[in-house]
Amino acid sequence: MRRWLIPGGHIPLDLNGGDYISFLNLGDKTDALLFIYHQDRNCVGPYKVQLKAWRVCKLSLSELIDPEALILDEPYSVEIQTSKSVIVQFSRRDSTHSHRSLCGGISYSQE
Amino acid sequence: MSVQWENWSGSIIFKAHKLIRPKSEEEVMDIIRDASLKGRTLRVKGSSHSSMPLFVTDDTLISLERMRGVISHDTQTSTADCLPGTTIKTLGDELLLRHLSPPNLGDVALQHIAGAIGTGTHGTGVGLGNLSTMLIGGKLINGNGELITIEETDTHLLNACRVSLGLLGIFTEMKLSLQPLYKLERKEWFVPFLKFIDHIEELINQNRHMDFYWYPRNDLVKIRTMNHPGQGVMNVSEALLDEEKIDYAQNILHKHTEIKNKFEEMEYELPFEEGVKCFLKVRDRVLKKWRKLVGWRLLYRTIKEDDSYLSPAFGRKTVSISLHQNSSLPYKEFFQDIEPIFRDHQGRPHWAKKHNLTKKELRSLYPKWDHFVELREKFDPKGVFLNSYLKETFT
Repeated sequence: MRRWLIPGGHIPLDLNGGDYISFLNLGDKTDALLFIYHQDRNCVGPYKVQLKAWRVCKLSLSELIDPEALILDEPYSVEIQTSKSVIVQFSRRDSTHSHRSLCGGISYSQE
Repeated sequence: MSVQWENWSGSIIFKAHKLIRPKSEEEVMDIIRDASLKGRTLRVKGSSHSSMPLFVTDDTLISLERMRGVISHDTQTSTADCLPGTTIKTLGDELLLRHLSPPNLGDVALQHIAGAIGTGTHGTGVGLGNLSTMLIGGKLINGNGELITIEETDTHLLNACRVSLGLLGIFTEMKLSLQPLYKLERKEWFVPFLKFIDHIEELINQNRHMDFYWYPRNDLVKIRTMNHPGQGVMNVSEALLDEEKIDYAQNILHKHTEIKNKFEEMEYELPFEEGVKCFLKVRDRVLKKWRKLVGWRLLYRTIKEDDSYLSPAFGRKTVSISLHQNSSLPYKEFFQDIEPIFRDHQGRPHWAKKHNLTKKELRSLYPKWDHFVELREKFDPKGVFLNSYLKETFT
């Protein structure tokens, strides 16, 4: 199992803001399982994301509803699990602060 | 032996004295006669898809799951007789073999046909009635244990029986008005809300079925149309086609044969001309107050007016607006905050979805309420089909 941990999640209330995870799957189709950790209640998940073979998948975390919508403007962390090696990039668009409207970075999995 | 039961979303949990699964009309009759004699009560659980306590009982819970399937049909008149525990999915499959199709269905195919009809469940289409309008006759065992045959010509009885919440009796056969087998083409587009809203009336009027989801987290709309292949209109130039599919109507009209995600739902049905005004107010309120907690989409559909006494579409061309929220997140506060907007626009609540209206408020919404209540007293004088919620509302 491959595992990624992104501790600094926060989706702004601004309609144009959001946290995103991009997946690049350079192999056979597989699933990614996401678990969301909160400050004051139990972890929610898994959120299942289907990753098609040799495809990119961009996920907007604010649009997830199954099993539960993420609450905006609150800190959260994401754990991602896959059974196969894929490439993961986390990015944030936060237009409430024009000087840092987009940031992101590539995460490497812990095997 | 007592049995614990819950609805599909988990918001209604109760313990019934016993659960009975009759296989025939005779068994249903015996169960009702026995209950009537002993002063007991019964509720039919359907598929337990209701979010209101319609099937809650501490006495006898009835499952009609063994009374399912289409028992006869007539392709000349496009009608079929089916058993009450037939699911929407099974009904569609069996009608396909008989070269018949339903005129319309809702999104979900899990419900039993008797429950879907009895609660005024609907799909979308301004020229198409809710599912109860398919009912043109049948057989029902009333609270005295008497078999009542409902004829197509008995308008008063049919208007009362269509949306009747299981208060008049238990259906043992239902005669449905259908259509010759036909195909539909489903298309789904995404478009920003503000690019879409000025086109809504034309889309509603020029597509056999049209509805839309609005997503509060990104302010996008998913427009869904269903038409006879090659027909229909999409007049929003910015709309991006996301999905298209052609199949027999019964395979296109519903989209969900299972629901894995538990959510709660409130839906109000409003006069057609109030629909957009109301939706704009609801959208504004959600964006200002609820977007932080609510990721679920809102659904906008249309329904043809009908004559069923307790139908939310009684006497008026109708728009329905549905709110959804994960059952694990705050939903009561959300629904309670939006409900007054629906009420300000003369909304009538869906019988099987969350609402907070009292008997007095409900009665004021239905011009034929007293006609229904009068017939209920005649059909079930001992209150065999009442639970505490229904007793409070209808007696």
